[in-house]
Amino acid sequence: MSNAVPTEVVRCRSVTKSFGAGEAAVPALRGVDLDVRTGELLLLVGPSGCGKTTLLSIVGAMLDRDGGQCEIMGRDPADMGPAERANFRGSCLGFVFQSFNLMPSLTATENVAVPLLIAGASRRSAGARAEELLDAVGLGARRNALPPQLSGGQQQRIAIARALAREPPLVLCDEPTSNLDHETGGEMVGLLRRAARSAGRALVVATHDTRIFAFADRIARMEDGRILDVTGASEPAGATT
Amino acid sequence: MLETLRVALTSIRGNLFRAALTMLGVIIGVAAVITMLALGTGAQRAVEEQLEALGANVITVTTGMRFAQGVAREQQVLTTDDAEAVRDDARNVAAVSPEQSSRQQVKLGNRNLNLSVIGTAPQHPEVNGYTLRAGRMFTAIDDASHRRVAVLGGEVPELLQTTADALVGHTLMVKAMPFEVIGVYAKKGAVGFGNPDDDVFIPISTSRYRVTGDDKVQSIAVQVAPGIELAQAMVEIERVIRREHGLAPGIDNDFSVIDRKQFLATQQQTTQILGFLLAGIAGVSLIVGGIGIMNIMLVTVTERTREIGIRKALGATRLDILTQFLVESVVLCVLGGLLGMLVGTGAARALARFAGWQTYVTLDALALAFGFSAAVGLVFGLWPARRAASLDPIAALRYE
Repeated sequence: MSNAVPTEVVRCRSVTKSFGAGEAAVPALRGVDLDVRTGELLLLVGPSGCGKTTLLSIVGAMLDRDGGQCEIMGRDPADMGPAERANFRGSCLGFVFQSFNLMPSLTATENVAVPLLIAGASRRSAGARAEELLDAVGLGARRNALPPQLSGGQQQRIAIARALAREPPLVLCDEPTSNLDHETGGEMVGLLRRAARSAGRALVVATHDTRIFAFADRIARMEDGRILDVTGASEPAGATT
Repeated sequence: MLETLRVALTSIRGNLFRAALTMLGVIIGVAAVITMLALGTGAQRAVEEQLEALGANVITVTTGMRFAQGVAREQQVLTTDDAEAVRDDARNVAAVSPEQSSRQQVKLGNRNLNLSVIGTAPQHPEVNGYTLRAGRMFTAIDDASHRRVAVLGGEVPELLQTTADALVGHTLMVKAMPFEVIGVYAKKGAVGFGNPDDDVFIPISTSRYRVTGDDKVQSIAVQVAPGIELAQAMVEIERVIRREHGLAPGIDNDFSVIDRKQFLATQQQTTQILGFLLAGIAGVSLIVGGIGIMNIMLVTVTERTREIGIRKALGATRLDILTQFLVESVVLCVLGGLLGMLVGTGAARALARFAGWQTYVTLDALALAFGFSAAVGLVFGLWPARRAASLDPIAALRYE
């Protein structure tokens, strides 16, 4: 366990976001403050429509905020142009989606290699790294399988491997277990937690799956576009998983 | 770029049938362009060969045009008498070869054809650059005697399903009259859309008295004596024919006197323009093929919206996405272009073999068609590629 003072990976202050315009505008975030520290697993929990996905999208540099400040690794995505933002996403962020979002015509290895190839890696080195990651998530034997040939749990493992391909300091997961059974969902979160611990990586998981609360270092409860409270240790929990 | 190309090929392989249908427009367009250019080049080369075969000293006298009820009509005012007058009275003339043309039934055994029968002078081969590959040309005596003898164009033996050597000495029925085949010309090749290799040549007097029954001729070819300026000879010929036609000073010629080489050079220019025009029309089909490419690429972008969202989330820039789809469009068109080149070359050869038209596929034509197909891919792939690049990643990820 590290005794170093944890670093803030994400720092949001008074973040607001509305969809639509004028009288039809629907506020999704109403002034959100959030900090995420290196190496921690933070859960964003709340009912559907409370703003979890919107907050993740803003932190993930895929959606512009209307107001407030938001810095990821000390940089504000609003100050970046589209190309810079895309490069930032690719190098500093990993994503795990509810519906896996794998490319059905690519093998497991090819899916994991996509972010590396986008970054300009050679096909050989990207493939080697992808196979290493698939071994780490327990799918070494299925590296040539296509997603439709795999179970939900296996597909999500590939998605996790892909999210870790470029060793990002921050991984954002939007309902990663909602399409999985209880046991598999638990395995996924355990996998993510190990990934966070082993590399000092921060994870933010948006979920309303109470089964995985026990894995979290902190839990931020959201409702109606606001963070109600954040519970859990002020320092990241011990190294054991 | 290599990876982008690989992704494009993977995408095309993933839906091969659709890719093939999409390429069909480009294949047909490129094939049409290649074939039309081949026809045009073939026609030009045929004219060039004619120019080479001709001496620099041949003048053609043709019938003039008159206008009746707003329509230009050819008037048959040249006669065999004009040809004789030019031969006897015009200074600086080496040989004269009139042509009287009519279409007649030509029979050999049970093989029956409708061919052009040309009544002409014994000087026809020298004046027009023909050579004999079998037998002999008819003589002045044959002409004076109105003998029923014939010299066949280079392809007539094949049309009659026999050989040149086998035909010489045999009897052909022309307009139900027996004609002895005394010679066969070597092939000259089609000129534009006419083919003298399909013609039958008989003495002008025989044509006049036994076949057509009149003395009208369509043209008179005149070979000028060596060392004489063509312009000078043309004036002389004009003088003689105007005298024959009783044209008073100040009255326009009812005939035309043309320097053959100049005429053929003009014909070459016309053929070239026609060739480009045909290729341009064929190019329209390539444009239509490009619209098909654009349509399918738009469908592809829609189908792969989620994939685009995933790539953007994973760090792909707008330029990456634009390039990916643009390359896919260009690859489709280039593949179609390559196949179109094969089909077009085959079609040009088939036209040469079965229709007897002279065609010639040049490297320039292949390069032009190939370049044009790549350009079509770039132009018509740009809009779908831009559409893909501008997709919002969140909306794209949510797309069902």
